[in-house]
Amino acid sequence: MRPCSWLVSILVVLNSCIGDKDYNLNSVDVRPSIAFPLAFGSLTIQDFLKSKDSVYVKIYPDDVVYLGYSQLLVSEDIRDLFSIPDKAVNQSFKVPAGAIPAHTKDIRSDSLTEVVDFGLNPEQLSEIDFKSGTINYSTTLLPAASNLKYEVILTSSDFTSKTTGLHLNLTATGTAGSLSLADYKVTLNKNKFSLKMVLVLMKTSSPVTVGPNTSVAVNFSLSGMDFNTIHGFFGIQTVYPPSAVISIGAFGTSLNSAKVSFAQPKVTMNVINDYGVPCTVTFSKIEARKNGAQPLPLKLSPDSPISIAYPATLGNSATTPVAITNAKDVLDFAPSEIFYQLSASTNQGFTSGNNFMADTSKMRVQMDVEVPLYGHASGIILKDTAKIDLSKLDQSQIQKASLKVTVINELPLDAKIQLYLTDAGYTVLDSLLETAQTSLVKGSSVSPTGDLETAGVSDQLLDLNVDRLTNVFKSKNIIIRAVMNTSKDAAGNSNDVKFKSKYVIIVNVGLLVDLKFNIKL
Amino acid sequence: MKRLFNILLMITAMAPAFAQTEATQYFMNSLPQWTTNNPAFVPRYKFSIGMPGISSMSTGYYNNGFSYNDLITRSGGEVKADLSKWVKALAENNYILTTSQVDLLRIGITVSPKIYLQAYVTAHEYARLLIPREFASLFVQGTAPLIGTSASFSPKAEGLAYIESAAGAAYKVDDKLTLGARIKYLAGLANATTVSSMLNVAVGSDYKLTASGDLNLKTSGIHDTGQDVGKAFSNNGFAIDLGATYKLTEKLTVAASVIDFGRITWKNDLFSYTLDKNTANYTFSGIDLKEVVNGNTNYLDSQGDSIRDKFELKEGKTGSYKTNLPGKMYLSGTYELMKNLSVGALFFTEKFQGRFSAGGSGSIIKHFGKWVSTSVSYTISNRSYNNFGAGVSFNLAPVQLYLVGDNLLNIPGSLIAGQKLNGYINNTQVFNLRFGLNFVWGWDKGSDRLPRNKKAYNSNLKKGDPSFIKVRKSHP
Repeated sequence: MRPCSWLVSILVVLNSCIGDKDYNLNSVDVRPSIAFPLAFGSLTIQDFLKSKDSVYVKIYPDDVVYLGYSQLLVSEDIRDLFSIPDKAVNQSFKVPAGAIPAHTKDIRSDSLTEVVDFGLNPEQLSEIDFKSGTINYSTTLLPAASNLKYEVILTSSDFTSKTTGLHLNLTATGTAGSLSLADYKVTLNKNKFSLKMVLVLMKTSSPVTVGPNTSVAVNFSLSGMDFNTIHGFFGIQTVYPPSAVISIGAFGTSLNSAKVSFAQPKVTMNVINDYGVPCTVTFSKIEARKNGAQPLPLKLSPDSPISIAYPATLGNSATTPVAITNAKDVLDFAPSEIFYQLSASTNQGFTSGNNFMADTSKMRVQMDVEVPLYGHASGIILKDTAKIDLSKLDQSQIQKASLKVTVINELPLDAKIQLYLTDAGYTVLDSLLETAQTSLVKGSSVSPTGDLETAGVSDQLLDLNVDRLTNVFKSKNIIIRAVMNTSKDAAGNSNDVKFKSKYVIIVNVGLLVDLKFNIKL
Repeated sequence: MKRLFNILLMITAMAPAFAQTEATQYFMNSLPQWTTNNPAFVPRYKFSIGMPGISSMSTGYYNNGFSYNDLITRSGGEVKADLSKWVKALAENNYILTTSQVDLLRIGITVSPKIYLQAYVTAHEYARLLIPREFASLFVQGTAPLIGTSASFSPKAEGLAYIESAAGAAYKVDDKLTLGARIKYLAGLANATTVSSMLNVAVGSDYKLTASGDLNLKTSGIHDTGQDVGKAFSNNGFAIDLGATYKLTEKLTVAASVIDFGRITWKNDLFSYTLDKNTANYTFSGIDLKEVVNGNTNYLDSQGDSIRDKFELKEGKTGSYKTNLPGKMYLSGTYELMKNLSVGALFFTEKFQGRFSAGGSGSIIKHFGKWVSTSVSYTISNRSYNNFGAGVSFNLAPVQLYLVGDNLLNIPGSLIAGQKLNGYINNTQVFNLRFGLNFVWGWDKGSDRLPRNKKAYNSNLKKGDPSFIKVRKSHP
């Protein structure tokens, strides 16, 4: 027998002696205990303020963080009051019937002066510097069969070229002509200017016979006019700009139900006026708003209506400060926006004046809000939602779970944090922590001036209720809700505290979980 | 990764054993293969030939960590793998070793009463996996046991396949001392060597996980499996075996040997797989709240990419390198209780790639005339204490059939107890088996026949030669 046959025979015999029941594994049992970091971070107060408003988060030289809102609202409504209507002048020169002998020089036959009124009301303009516009002119000989040779000269010393300094001088010879007004300015007398028209008979080498009822019709018109500047008395006019809003979004809705007291808030408002015209601004409404609360009116000084200063010369601005006398109340109210509605009137109480404006002139309302994070508050709520889906995991695999939470907090703010488990429709199924376990963040202790003394330290191992934990696997969302209060002194009083940019909160969250896997094979 | 898997597969497949510590076979002096463990040994047959593939095949499995019973639990007719139980049973360092050996050709001949010559060609495979207990524990028991501490472990894989061509001689210096030596030419086929391996895992008191790694695995003859077979023989080396026996008394003989003292230089198809300790380190602290606050939704993905980059094995060609053979040392003593009945004791060690292992064995050897030789043994090895071995050779000269192994006697016990081998298999940590067919001639009847041969033996010596035998009856 060859050894291989030998071996095979032995293996066959041995194989028959091996029962396979020991080697058909039904399952694999493993019970790991996992310690796993969930989250960490070193966060400053700036991180807690919404990132979209980070542009508003600023720091004073003493490192106190403040929210600075500065919004400049531009109103061009006064300028829109002024438009220059089209104007047309039609005149006619009558040419006496008879024979006109041959003549070697042109003959000035007739002339007339037309006073043209733009018809503006209540404005009484004294000057217009044109930005655009067109003069169209033409002459017509009637009857048309006449062979009279002529021209009409149109002049106005009120119109001056901005490039040559020459006055307006046009010659119409029977065909239509036009001229751009962009190069001209016109001097007006209460909206009026003079236009002189002269009929000239052209030299001729043979006599011309003029029939009865012969005339020369002159057409002169101004259209499409816009101005660079205007001067004069603009009259008494009132405009109603649309309402405007200054958003104060850094707190979001977190302060909606909070009691907040800011120690040194500042709210200032300036009206900046380019118009050379006395204006009066009336705030029909100016108030702080937030959801779920009645608006809080802002108290202004001086009281509305407010006379707005105006510049003495074109190209300058005049600023009128308006104080908010109840700024602290407004900021303690923790508004999400400041709403205002105003009207502006010109020349109230005046019957004349030398007003001016440019087409670029504006009236701007600038509002500056500074909210130093210095004060005290309670009931600040931060809330966020995260989607989870652990439905594919078998919750029976978790035997025990604990959260390890370590927080070193230099911010004068303590927090109670709860995790709410909800279904897809955001109906709360359960909360993850016992009420006694929610005090996860201890605020720092502060000096009487509100500065940091010692960081608040919290180091806890929180056993999670396994029954509650099972709801994690049924949940579709987890809502993280933190209710925060500023630190109190030893006596339990809420003193004003400062939030400085260097203050950090160091967070480490870990999960300790005993798992039991029974993997069926 | 696939390449690494192939390497592990290859190492695992380098199964059955070349004579690791075959303690029972060590005393089977009826076999030509007896010389394997000591070149000074002179087999009982004066002339032997082993033909390719049939003269000797051996296989071995050694696991100092656990048996199958340490892994499973039975409950209600169900069998389940209980990994927690398994980890508790593990040794600090768990070596799972498989070896194999096949004789391709073997010749042995006693050319004179003093000299025995031998030559053979044998194919060897050796594969070893080191699983530190803490490494297994990390995956089975999780990270919680390491809170506030750290652990370092060095899982390693070694694989070696080569052909050994050996020539040696035993020289009887006198009637007490015999010296032996063997020189071997080694042709390497494939190798995987863990030059360095270190994985550190630390779990902070806040559960932060820090891992760092350092690995340098070199291979030869594995990456390009489709290459010309001839190229595989460009890996070569030499080794020597040295041995001696000394007859302390007429009945007590001691022996010592050093086996496989040599190494192979690997030159063919060389690749390395490395983790750079300067980059392969990472601390996972959880989700960075700052990134969340800043709305960085790609944060976790970028962290995953970073970890992957840091711990990705770098594959590249490497230069030639050398590996030692698993070197062994044997110390033994044999006491002849009576004619054809001896007892033996053996202490053995092996040193390979940083591991020094030792064991011991006791044997009873009985020859039933020249026809049947037997041996039974008890061996302690690899934290295993239930190894009762047996060997038998049927000497039907010129044909000799044999079977020997270190943990065979438990088989009948298992069969009797449960009619199955399951009990045996489930408790086995050490198993080796050698069997084959030799062609043998010239049974040396041994010292009991020396009186009758003394004239022939002494006739080759000059008078006064220290080897001159003065025979006295050993078995009155």
